[in-house]
Amino acid sequence: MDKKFSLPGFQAKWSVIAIAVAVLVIFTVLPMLYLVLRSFATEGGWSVENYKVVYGSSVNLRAFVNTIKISLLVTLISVLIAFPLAWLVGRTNLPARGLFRTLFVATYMIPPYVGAIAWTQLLSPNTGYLNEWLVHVLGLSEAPFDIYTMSGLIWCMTIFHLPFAFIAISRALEKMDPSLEEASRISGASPLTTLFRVTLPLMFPSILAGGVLVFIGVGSAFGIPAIIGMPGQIEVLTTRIVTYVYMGTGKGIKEATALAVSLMLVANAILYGMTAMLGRKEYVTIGGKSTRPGIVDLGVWKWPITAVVSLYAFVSVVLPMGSIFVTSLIKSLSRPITFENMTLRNWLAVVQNDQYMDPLINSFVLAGVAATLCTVIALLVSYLLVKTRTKGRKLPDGLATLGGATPSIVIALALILTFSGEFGLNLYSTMSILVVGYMVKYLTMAVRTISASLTQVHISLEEAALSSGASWLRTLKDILLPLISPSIVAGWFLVFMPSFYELTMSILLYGAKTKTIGVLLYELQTYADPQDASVLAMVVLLIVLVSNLILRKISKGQISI
Amino acid sequence: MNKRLVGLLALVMVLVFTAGILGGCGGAKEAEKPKAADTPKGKLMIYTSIYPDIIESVKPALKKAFPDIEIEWFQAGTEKVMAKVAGEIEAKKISADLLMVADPSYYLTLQEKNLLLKYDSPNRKDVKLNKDQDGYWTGVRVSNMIIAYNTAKVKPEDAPKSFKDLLDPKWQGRIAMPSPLLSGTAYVFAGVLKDTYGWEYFEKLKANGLKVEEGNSAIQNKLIRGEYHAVVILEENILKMADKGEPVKVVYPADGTVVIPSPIAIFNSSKNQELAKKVLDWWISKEGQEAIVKGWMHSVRDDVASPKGAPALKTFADKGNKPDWLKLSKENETVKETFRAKVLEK
Repeated sequence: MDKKFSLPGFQAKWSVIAIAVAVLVIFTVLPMLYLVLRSFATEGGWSVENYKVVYGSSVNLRAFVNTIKISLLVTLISVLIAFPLAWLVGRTNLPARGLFRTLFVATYMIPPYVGAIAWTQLLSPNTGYLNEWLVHVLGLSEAPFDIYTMSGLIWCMTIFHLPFAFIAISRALEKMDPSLEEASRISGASPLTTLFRVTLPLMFPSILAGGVLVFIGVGSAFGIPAIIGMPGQIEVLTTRIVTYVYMGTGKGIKEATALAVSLMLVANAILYGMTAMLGRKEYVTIGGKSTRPGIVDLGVWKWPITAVVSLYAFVSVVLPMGSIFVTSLIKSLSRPITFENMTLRNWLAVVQNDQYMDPLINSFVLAGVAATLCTVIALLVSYLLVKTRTKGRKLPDGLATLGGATPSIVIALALILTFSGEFGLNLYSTMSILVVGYMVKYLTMAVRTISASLTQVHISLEEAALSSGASWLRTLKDILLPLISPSIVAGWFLVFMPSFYELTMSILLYGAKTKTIGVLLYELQTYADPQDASVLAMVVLLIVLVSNLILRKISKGQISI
Repeated sequence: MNKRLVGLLALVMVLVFTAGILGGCGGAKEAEKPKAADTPKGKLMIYTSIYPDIIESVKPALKKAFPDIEIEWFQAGTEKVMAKVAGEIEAKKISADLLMVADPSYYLTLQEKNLLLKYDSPNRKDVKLNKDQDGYWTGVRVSNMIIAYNTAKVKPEDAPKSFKDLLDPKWQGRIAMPSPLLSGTAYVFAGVLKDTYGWEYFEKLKANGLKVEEGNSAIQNKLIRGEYHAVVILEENILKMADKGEPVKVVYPADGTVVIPSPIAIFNSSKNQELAKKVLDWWISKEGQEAIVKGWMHSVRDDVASPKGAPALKTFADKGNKPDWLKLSKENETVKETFRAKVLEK
């Protein structure tokens, strides 16, 4: 294996890789360190003064407690729902499993703030569509639900973060060696006993890993808490940070910094706590492909369960999207939903409005650039990780993962502090700062996708090219790239999509000429024109849907968001 | 074969976006070149809190008046624009030429920081409302904080007649106002009312189930749908919706409509000052003011009619509150913080 060291084409390879690493260090590590440093900086030196000031105010303390509380509850509920769903789809004879699988992960590709907009339409007290319908059908005296409450917030968060857990658990189920379950069944245990005595314990690490993803996702979320929490006066760390930054003063930035570092600490503590807890235990054994997992026959329960699962899929995906679609067509909000009360005029007005189309184009360009740069860097990082045996080859990958695990809002604030001219680089309100933010956050998506496919390319192919006298760059171009091209395209889209509809970082980083579609939607919904927000939300959904279809086509159904 | 195609596709994407970013950068660079001062050609950036659809409706008139000026808009709520400007001041990069936000007291703050350009437009003699004596800022549009009610849910005789009436228990949980922390006009409203009735007015409103929303439009939609029955809101939102046939009506409160003559000003950091002056002249000309009125706001001139469906400004402005802009400019942070603590804290 050490032979790789003696490969020719050495120079080009290392300089290119060095550049990729340097970029990562400059834009990921330095800003984070500087952010932490700044949070302890006071007039006359270093102290925890900023933290004292911030947490001296009850609203911030409550926001901190809320963040932890909501994250924990959503994590718990998500796992409790996701596990049975994953098990039903992966291990039973539930009908239309493929369709259900798609529906359960569908909310993963819907921008969370679009979901929040939908749920406010459905469950506003008194006037939400669903509330009105329930009052009408059940003859209630008042609306049964109010979305602007803690439970409403937790509900919406759960729906939109559950796919993290579902995907993690599904994968683990697929990877698990079914012979263990078979052994239990052969020994006379019932399917349920097997589930509790064998499957669940074996799955525990994966469930925990999925849970951590949910926890960090919820703690870092801004869109849902801003649209659902703020009107109900429920504040979390992210909404407080944005409020402070929006004060536009040095003092505001200071307080935001202390809060951001707190959030970072919580996220990292959870991450490392879990890693330590699991040690390096991977219970999941990879068996031969010959053994197919035993499919559990649901028997009499098949149809009742199908009904329940269908209801969940309907409520979590179809209903909210339908609500947004209908709202985007309505002429007059005060009149009931009928065909006479619908029009395409709203759509025309939105599409012809430069105020709306410019941000859409901005987001397209920003996400495209971020995705392209990420793909290039991810290629080099993956190459280093998979194809070399250098010391420290895992470092760039580690940095990418660090960026991905850091709450978006923390990244945004770190970039503002670091690149507002203090170190000679003033990116304030430029396109670049947004691109950098997206790259730091989503690079890991591309790295994971590309390195997975790079592992499958045998070294001998590369060696053959090199020994025939091709340079390393040429080898890359003619041999490696064509072989892994599907994963490159997939990696590109996996960065493009979340960047395209990103809100949390954009809301702090955008400038007069760089408003993004996420920011525009958020402002329309909360401030200017909620009906136009529905039309634009549909436009965004269509773009994301088309991107996903392309992604599926290219990766032959292997990868989709 | 297929893999080739995919590779090609990837390459095309890379090229398209690289071209995009280069093109984008090129465009941005061009805008920063100072232009010759005497031709009304070039680019202008206006920061404003005027609603996007109103901006869109004004564009044709502006295009007609200035065919060679490319006007770029940055639209957000007043407080967000203020935050953007504050950030840009910190980063020493103000990219706005003209400022048209709602809260007049903010212009005093900027004037004090010496960021505004002194310009005595020839059209200023016709501006009857709220202008700085030296020409650092000039009133350009009048917004009014009023009460609106849902006519499908509330009979006219039951409608609130004054801000004080909103304390009546019959409105329990059905009243709302925009947040002073995010909306400039709402900030003025809060600052004026706490001087009139003291902070306990807001505490009582809260006890009466007041909801505080981010912006006027969220309130407008919930009022239309009957979730709220009576709200404190901008007159222009309601005029527009009433014209659309929605069941909402304006009440000019007996204890004083809050009249807010929002100014326009030029940043002295502007590289396009001559252009900015020309555009400012237009905004306060008769033609520009007619565009304002089309956007459901009142004119600062007296030779321009009221917006459709609204009485003349003077019929209620004299009974209106006279906000003390200097005071509002000084106490900005304390009012917001007090409001947050007293009204928004659970």
